[in-house]
Amino acid sequence: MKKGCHLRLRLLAIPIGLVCLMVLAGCQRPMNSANSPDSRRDINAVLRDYDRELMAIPDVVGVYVGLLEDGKTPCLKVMAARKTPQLERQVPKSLEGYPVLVEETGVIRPLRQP
Amino acid sequence: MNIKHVILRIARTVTALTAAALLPGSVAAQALNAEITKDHPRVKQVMSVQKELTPGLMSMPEILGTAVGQDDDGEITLVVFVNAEASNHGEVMRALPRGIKGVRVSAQLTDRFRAVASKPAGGGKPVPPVSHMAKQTPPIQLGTSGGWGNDFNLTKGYCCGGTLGSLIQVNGVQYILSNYHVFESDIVNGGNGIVATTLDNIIQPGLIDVNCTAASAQNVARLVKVSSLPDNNVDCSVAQVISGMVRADGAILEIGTISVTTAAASINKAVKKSGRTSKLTRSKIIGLNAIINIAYDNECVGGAAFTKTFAGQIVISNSRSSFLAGGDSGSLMVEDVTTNPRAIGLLYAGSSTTAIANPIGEVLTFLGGKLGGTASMVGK
Repeated sequence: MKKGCHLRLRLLAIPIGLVCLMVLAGCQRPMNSANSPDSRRDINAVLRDYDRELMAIPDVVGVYVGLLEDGKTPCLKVMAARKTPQLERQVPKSLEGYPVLVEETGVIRPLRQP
Repeated sequence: MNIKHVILRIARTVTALTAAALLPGSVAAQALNAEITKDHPRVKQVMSVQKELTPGLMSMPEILGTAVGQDDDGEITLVVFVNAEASNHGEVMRALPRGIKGVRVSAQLTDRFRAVASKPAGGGKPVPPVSHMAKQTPPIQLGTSGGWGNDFNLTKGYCCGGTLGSLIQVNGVQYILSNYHVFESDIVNGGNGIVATTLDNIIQPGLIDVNCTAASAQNVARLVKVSSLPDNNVDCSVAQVISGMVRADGAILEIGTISVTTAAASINKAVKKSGRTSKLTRSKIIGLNAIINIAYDNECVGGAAFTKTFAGQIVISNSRSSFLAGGDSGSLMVEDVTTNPRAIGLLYAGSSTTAIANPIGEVLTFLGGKLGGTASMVGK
């Protein structure tokens, strides 16, 4: 009787464990997940979720939704005061399936004239 | 007759007439280091060939002119200008010989030559270029130099200015629209002993274009402080127009009147603006929904006031500051169409690669709330 109970418990533990893993996977957002275009979230929502992390990287002055050089593929752009190797290492290459590009814009300033 | 045959026939005729007039090559070689003027022996040689060749060539509609030039090797050449609009310009280019009696021929494609300051049809004076920095005769057009009448810093020896970008209206009252940092960002006594206050003079041109002397400018409006920064998501300010000083139709230099309706930004949309420094310029929107950190001073060339993080901003291509430069702050960004373009954004910041604008809808909503009504662009 005890053996049967243990076996049932073990069998039950496996799907419970799988469910836990699936829940955890859903809660985490891997920085370089390769989502297919069809399953991706709206790019503006993705930017909203990651903008603070990106803006916290030293020398990052801004982030925005843009297009790749092909003029049609949406991407996230990171504006950098200086494009340093350290900065490029810290910025992910993609976020939830959207390419992330770093561009050296320099510091953005108000443009009145002294 | 075949173009090539025509040109060769002209070239042979020239060769026969001018052979005796050409200088020996050894003399030409010695003279190369002399200053290149019309008296240079080699230039005279080429001019001689040019004189004989040009009438025949100019009889062809594909040829617009000839000249004496110098190629990349430093050789004095006979330049033949070929009409780029001619359907057979390629054939003509290929038919021109590379040299005629020791004179190198350089064929250049060009558009038709036109007088730069041409008379309008039916007569009239040539149109001078538009100055965005000069003091205008009232009522002034927008897209011009202007700013707060006290925007100077005696301690640092600077004055500041920007652009009186456009005209808005709220409850029938017209206001010049510009930026917070152009009209009212002086928030410390600092280098001029005062802070920006409602009813202060807004002048045209700005101090930077009248040698920092407000008396050399004219009062065109009175500041209405709205304190958009640091607490709001727009860098804007307004000044109530002084009667008779500003075009009531809101006309902007080199743009004219605009639409009362506004347009949303979209990526790749062609835009233009009229501003104090770079005048009328064009570009395109390259990004949306930008989050950007921008540092503000507490007065003209002052200390740090605050860093503002804007959200939802419009990003515009600004390669080598070709679209927006220092002094253009306050310019209105409109769609790049000829007649009554719709406003899209209020320009206020940038770098040598990128320009930033507040979406105009947010600007108008904020100002309407502050001024107690619905704010709209003045236009048609």
